[in-house]
Amino acid sequence: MRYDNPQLIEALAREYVVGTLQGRARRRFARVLSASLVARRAVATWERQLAPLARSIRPVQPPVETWAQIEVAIGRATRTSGTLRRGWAALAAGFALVAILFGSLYLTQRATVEQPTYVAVVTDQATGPVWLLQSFEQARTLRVTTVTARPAPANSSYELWMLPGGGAQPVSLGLLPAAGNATLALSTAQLTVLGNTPTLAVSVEPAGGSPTGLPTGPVIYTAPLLRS
Amino acid sequence: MFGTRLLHSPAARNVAACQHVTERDARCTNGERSHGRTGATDRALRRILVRQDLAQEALQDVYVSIWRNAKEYRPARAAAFTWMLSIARYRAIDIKRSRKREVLFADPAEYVPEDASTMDADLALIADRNNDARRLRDCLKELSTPQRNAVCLAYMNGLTHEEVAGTLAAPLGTVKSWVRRGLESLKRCIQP
Repeated sequence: MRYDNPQLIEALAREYVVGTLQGRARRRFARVLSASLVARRAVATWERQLAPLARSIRPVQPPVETWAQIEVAIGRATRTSGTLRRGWAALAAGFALVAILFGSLYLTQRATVEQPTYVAVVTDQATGPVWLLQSFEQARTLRVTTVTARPAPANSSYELWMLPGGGAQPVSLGLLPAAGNATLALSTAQLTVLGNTPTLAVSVEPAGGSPTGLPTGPVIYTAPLLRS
Repeated sequence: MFGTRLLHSPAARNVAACQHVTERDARCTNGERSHGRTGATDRALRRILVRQDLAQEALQDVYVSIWRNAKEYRPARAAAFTWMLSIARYRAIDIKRSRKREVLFADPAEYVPEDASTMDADLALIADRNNDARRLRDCLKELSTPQRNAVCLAYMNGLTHEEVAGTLAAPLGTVKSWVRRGLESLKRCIQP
């Protein structure tokens, strides 16, 4: 495709800004942007013209913990109480079993273009492996493979958490499916925390996830996060 | 009341102040924190991502990215707010598209503007004292109702053409043309 056609650039720029340019076309245009001043100007013009519309959305305040997590991510770690951590640590059991299961399960996974950076197997003491989790740094994703999960209790969801070291608060990775596979997006902040996380945990939360940004329901599993 | 706050755009001022930060000092984020000044960016993220936890993650990501890239901000190219908003919207769109729809628990029906007057109420929130904002509002009013709804659903809620088609119960091709023609008219109206 030729990107030196001003009309084409204009058409792509407006759909890029509005968000309806999708998939490969979107990624390709994002690359064009770094090389083309004309494209950047067209995008900047649309961004400016439409921005007042975003301001018309009614306000909400971000929860306080968001700020704490931002500060952690930019390197000004905040200290938090260790009481929560002690409770979580008590649940971290059966690591040896997990290691064995991890070996057998992981070897059966097909090799992908990008090798996972971290892996974890969430294991139920009674029924064995529940979820296999693999993080991919470049793709910024966490792949979830469900082995044998029980359906979540009514009006509940399984939520996956990172338990970073140093007494920091748990950070959500998203919801886990009760069946099938899922791919969760990882933000830069999450990837940063992941690199300092020895243990993952799964809690039962109200449907749709914890309303507070921190675990509110019972922690049913923990699993060590292993560097692949 | 919040309308007044939006007009003065403290977030924009704050980012503008942050552009001069060479070392990562605490001033900017603490300033925003103490005044609760994330307003519009956070709202835009929530409207697109629906789920609070996702919006929260995206907001963190965006602020960290803004913090790290403050030096690259060019006042001439974009107002600080627009710069920050754009980073946030694109990130939210990426996250939304990378998730399966069922993971988002989004109910598009929630966002259907019932009629033009509902959208007018939305548009009335656009800051009046700003010329750009007023022109955008007046020009949006000149679009046909389906064009305006299609553009707003795509821009404000981060819906794809397919999702807008599902929401407005219209054929995909029709929706694509609503968005395209809506934006073309908007451009002609804003830059005569």
